[in-house]
Amino acid sequence: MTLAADQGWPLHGPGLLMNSGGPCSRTRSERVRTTVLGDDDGPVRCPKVLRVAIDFGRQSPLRCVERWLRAAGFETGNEARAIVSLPDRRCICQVDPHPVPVSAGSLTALEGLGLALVLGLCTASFYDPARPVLWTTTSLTRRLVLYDGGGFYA
Amino acid sequence: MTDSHTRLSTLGAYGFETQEPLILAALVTGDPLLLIGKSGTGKTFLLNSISEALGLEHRHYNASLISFDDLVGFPYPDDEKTAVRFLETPATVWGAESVLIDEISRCKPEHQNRLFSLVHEKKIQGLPLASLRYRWAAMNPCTTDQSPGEEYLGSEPLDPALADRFAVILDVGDWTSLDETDRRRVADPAGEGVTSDDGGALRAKLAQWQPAFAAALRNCPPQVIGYVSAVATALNNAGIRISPRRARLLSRTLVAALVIDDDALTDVSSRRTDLLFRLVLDGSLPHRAWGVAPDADKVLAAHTLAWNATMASPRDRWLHQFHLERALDRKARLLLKHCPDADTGTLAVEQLLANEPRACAAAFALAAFPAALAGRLPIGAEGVNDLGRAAQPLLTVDGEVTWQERLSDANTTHPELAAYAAVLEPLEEARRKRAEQLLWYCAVAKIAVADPRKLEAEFDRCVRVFAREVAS
Repeated sequence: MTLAADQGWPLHGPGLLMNSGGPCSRTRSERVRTTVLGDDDGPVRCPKVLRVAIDFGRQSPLRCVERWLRAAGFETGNEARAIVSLPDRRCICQVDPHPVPVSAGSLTALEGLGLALVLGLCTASFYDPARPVLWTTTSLTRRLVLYDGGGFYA
Repeated sequence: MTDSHTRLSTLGAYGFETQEPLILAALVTGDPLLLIGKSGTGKTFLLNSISEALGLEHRHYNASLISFDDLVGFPYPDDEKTAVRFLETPATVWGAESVLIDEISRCKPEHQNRLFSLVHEKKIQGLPLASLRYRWAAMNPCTTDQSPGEEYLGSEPLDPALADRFAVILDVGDWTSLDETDRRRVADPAGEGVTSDDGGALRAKLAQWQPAFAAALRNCPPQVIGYVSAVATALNNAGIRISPRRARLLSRTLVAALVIDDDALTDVSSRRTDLLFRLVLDGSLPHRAWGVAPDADKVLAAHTLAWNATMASPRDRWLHQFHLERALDRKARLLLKHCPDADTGTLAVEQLLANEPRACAAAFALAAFPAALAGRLPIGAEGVNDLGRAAQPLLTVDGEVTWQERLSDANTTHPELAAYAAVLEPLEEARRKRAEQLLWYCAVAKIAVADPRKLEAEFDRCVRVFAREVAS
């Protein structure tokens, strides 16, 4: 905008140039990432316990687990947990940002049941060996990392 | 309405029915009483009438006119000329059993200071007034607390330290607050100048109540202590300051009010007692004496919270107590040490996560979740799940922060991250790492933290409480 003499302003040279509302700042952004999980050497240690991810390919996850159960001689997941080695205490679980899923076809029945049981014992935020096994397509296709939360209070 | 509620009308003082339990309680405790009201509302008449009915050696001073010599008498040296004695007159305060300081808000500050020790410790010039039993005062509403229609120029706010010495502070109603019967009684000019005499009924009752009050003080009902503790916390949290002295005075007045009202004492958790406690609370707030009427809604909310916390079932009582407590570490201790059962613990955690400010809820979730995982919290699986859901985004913070940078600047950092860095910098490693998770999460989630240093300190105290539990 230019103020000229006819608007009551003294005119010297080209007149007074006013800021007409152009950009005076820029938007900046920064990614923030920090975790207390999995850092075995940090001051707060919540080490990784297990990574679990099964690639069922084109098979139905539930049918596949049923096959593993039958092959191992069990009726339900809760029977199977008695002979499969599982982490014995609650763990924090989070979605694995870099999963390496194991192909279901490459697993024996007991190996497959072990991984499926861990997935069936996880809620959205933690693994609990004391809860009933809950298998759904969603729970079996999750890719998770389990961490031991015991070191949080270091 | 019981017999005790009409005692003052037998003295010719009308319109005090609602406040009578409080006035009687002040007579039982002997603690200082202050009446605040417009001119002509019967404040002075009431207090002078009580002194007449009780047959007290009474002094009535007008604080705006009084000189200190009027109170203590004219000083003169004793025969040995080693000490000062005071020439006593019928108006001097020595030997008085009750003192009414009228217009206390109109006296000079230096006189207020002298009256302070009279009101506070029954002393004047450092000398005890051995026979003084009652200290009463009256004032017009101070100038900052006026209705637009009527100004009391010269009625200044009391010094809060002086006002806080009065156990009972009552607003005396005007004509409009009288019912029709009382209006007619007040309008009737008969009885002017007659000494108040109820045949010794009030004196007899006080002789009965005062020993009962002394006995009750030695074994104060736990509900009174619980209520006063809870309501003082709630009011302070709401920005209405209650001093520790005030809390103690409130307890005394409540005990006296219960002693006077047999029915309320018999069933402490009844509706009647609820109303009595509310009345005593309202009459125990000194703020009006310095011109700041406390927010009635906040007072009601504090009373309701404290009443429920004290009188409800043990489970509800604990829940109220948990939510009344502001500090996260104290909440953590309450949860760990006093939670009645896992269902109540779960409910408490769910309510905390839903109702606390977001930064506080996040701090509690992060501090508590690992202990909950270790099975050290008295909460059910749902509670652990809720804590886990809230703690997840704090355990791994992953997001983007944006800010505006002036074109003339370069390489600036996010203003909140810069402020948080100053908080984090002096902390030892593990504490810093945990605090970093909390504060960076707040930045990413756009949660405003008014005082990051305070939040971090509170979070760390909370972490320590849970850490001790896990280590034990």
